Amino acid sequence: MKFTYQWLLDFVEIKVSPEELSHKLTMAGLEVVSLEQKGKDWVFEVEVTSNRPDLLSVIGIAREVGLICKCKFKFKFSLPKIQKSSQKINIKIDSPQDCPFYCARVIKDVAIDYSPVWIKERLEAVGLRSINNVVDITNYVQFSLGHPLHAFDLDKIQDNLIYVRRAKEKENLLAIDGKSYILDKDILVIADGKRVIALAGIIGGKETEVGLSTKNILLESAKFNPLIIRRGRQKLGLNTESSYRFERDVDIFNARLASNYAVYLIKQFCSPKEISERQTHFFVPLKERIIFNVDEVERILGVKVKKEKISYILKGLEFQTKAINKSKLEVKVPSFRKDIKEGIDLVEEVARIWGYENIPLSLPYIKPVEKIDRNFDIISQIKTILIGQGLFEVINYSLWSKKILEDVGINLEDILYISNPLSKLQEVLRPLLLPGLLFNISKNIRYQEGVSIFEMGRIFNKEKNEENFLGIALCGKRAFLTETGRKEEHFNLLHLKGVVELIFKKLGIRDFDFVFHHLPYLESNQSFIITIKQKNAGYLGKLNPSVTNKFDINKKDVFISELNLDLLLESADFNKKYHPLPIYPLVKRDISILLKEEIPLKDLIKRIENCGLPLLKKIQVIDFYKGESIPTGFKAVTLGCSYYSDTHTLTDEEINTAHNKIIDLLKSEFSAQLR
Amino acid sequence: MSNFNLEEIEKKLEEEFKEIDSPNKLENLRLQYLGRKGILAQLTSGLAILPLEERRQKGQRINALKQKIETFLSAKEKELADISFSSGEKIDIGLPAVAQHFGGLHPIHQMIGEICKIFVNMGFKVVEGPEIETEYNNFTALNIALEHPCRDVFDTFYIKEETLNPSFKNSKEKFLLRSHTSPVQIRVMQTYKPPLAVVVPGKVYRPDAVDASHSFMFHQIEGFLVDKEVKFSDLKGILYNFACNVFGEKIKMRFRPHYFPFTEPSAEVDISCIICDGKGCSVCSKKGWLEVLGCGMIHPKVFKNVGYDPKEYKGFAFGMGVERIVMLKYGIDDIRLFFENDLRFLEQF
Repeated sequence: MKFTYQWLLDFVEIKVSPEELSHKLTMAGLEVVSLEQKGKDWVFEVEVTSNRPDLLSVIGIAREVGLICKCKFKFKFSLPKIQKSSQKINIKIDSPQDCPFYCARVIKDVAIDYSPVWIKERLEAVGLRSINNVVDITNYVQFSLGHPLHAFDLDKIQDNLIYVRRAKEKENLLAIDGKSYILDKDILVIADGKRVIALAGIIGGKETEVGLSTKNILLESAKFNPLIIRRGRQKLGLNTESSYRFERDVDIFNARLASNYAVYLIKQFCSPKEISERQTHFFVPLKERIIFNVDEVERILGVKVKKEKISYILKGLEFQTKAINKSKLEVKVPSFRKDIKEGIDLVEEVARIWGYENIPLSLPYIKPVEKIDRNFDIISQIKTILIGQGLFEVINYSLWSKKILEDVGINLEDILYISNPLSKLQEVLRPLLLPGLLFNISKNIRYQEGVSIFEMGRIFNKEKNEENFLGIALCGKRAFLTETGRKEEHFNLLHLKGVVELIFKKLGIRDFDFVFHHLPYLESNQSFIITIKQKNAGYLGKLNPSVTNKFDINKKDVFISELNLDLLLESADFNKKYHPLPIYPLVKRDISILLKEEIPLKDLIKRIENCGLPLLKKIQVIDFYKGESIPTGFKAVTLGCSYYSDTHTLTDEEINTAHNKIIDLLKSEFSAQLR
Repeated sequence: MSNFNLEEIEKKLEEEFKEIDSPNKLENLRLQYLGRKGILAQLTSGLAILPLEERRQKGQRINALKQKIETFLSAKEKELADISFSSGEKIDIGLPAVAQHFGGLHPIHQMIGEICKIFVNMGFKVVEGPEIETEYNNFTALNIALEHPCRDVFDTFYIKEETLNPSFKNSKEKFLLRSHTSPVQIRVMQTYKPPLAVVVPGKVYRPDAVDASHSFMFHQIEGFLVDKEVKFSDLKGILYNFACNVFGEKIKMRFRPHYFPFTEPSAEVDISCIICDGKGCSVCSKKGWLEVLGCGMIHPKVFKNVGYDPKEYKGFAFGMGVERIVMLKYGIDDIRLFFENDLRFLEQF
């Protein structure tokens, strides 16, 4: 809403500068978003919140100014004599719910001309174009008093009928904006005996527009159902100064006042010969009464405001107050303050006029919570590990195009769609984190030798609606300089496995496995499902080059893993138990063997671990080699075995027995050859 | 060799010792004195011609000297070993360090972490909620009428009903992507009884075309406190504490009356412009103030909607856009940078 300083002066005797006024308005809740000098005047633009349609007018702002600047509110004009009508106009209203009030003033023999300069200047200052004196007066009154008016060319209205009804299907109107609108039964219209002549509360029709040839006019001031206006303007995609005010709801008393003021101005500037009226209203709204406990002010604000001050503020805002007892007031709400419904609303009125800056600072007593949900902490611990592994966190959009998912090769069956997307590019909710991570790699790998990233976020699917996932992606290499020269390390699947296992270790998850399983977007021989206690917890693998090519990642391997964070957190086990430090020596023995390539090391280790050797403390692969000097189809493996007893120092004999058992087992069950 | 002077040898030895600064020199010295043809060997061989008594005396003195030299040598050896294991070659400290590669948190999550920590330290608890919400939780329960101009600022993405799980479809509820974090207020209040002090970080969605200052997805942090006696002054105190922690002790803060359907009284909170210290610049549009959050006392209707008695309980709530705060704090001028994830951007935080 825009207005000017001079315009405001018509309504209130301001004694402060425009700058100071701007600050005061802002601090009273009417934020001044811009203040500009224009000639001798100042143009204010204020942000009026949707609960205060009364402030969409200079008079409304003047009421506030009167109180916050302690200056006198003034607005007076005398209504010209309303004569008996020489032309009978009938008003017909189909539904009082749609239109509870309609006032038509018939004004004869108006002289259509340019507007007075001051009206023109003010309208232009607030961004309106000057048309002619009658149209300008309706706009000027709309801005001055906040009630939209419309003037029809009376002689173009057929059958002397104003008919407020819903449009018929496919009925249409050529509006004053030059556009033709096709209507339906949800749209409220003003019709005459033959056709639609205006879209009620939204825009007038071209045919009944007031122009240079107009002699007689019908001035409409009405109240329309806010919801109908809102739906109508949404449907038509049309937002006007008029619809903006009607959908925020207008005041019937103000509708009368606006009509009177317009008639006064028309009388003054358009020299009409006859003014008569026809009016229909179905009910007069009662003033809202609130029993207000003034102690609430202190209870809510945390500071005492004197009862006299409270009454002074409320009266200043045109509330009528009457003391019921020591702490209770009966408050009558002015008809233009539809936002005030209960005591708390009055507390706000007192607070904002008294000044939020006068409310002190205090700190509440916050009771400690009984049960602490640790998930937020655990998540940040996981993130710390990932950062420590050199990974950067990314955040990707949750909405993607269907095509991207098809490119990746994702099954589209269980995917959720947006019913009102901004574009096809943001039509589906991501069912996994993969597309975003691929975009990030594609973008970065042009500038970086290696990209290692992770994302934590929701993924969406039909089964669960949404789940928390962790995605990790590695691509390229990392290089470092040592004293013996530059060393490069290309990322491979084991780097990724390392990151995943670190997380499991931190969370105390032991019962996990990497199960070979081919996923469409992964390369067939490097594609694994990750399980935790036999439950599917995600996947790990190398991306299929046919997928990476589509993302312009050429000739670079991308390794990716996604983990179900909800399941991870559920499976986490932070119970720890102290094991006494070793008091006897730990004996280490290695076994170097040749193994057939296809034998999974995972199975071999598991078999040895479970073969019933209590002295075997730990077994792990400590060296691995394939290639030259190793027969094809074989791999060379060195296993490191650690033996320990917590009751005595192990004898050679004990160790040999255990160690030989492992060797025998390797030979017999895995056809291993000792090297 | 009869007139050798052991004192002199010892004195010379001590001087030579001082100059030893490498294992090589130490070895040479050892050979010079204790080697097969070294000084002490020569002295010992000269003893044979002496009379028995003198031989015995001198022999003892030579032995004592030998022991002394050996003690010296081993002490020096240890000293040198402590100085350096290597050959003592020079290193160019200008060479790049060999360090573990270190990644980084996204600036948005760094800020969320920082803000949540501030509130957690004051006694708040972090709670998260779903991104797919019901229309009721997102609007109705928060006193936002579905067909009212107050909803215009909350344009919302709806989920296509036919793609939802049949178990959701059966309810009359419409599902949407939450347009703010406030529905989590409803969820928490429906589940727990006061007192409550909760912060809620999370993603929210609004159908805004993407440009330098708009994004259809962004992050918010919501906070609320409900107890028997909670006042607007408490809200001011808590938020002032927050702003000082994020923007520094010198920050000024002001509360402007505003309107939100779910709070009454409501306020928008400005901080003095962190770019120009409140003097007025392009970032604050010459106002000297930057809007950073919205807040207010929880509306009695919201309490009624979750089954709390508004006469018994009071509360405050606040909400802020995380992107905006990060942009202000670091002088970032394009919101899209957050979701492009260029490592050259991410590495800066």
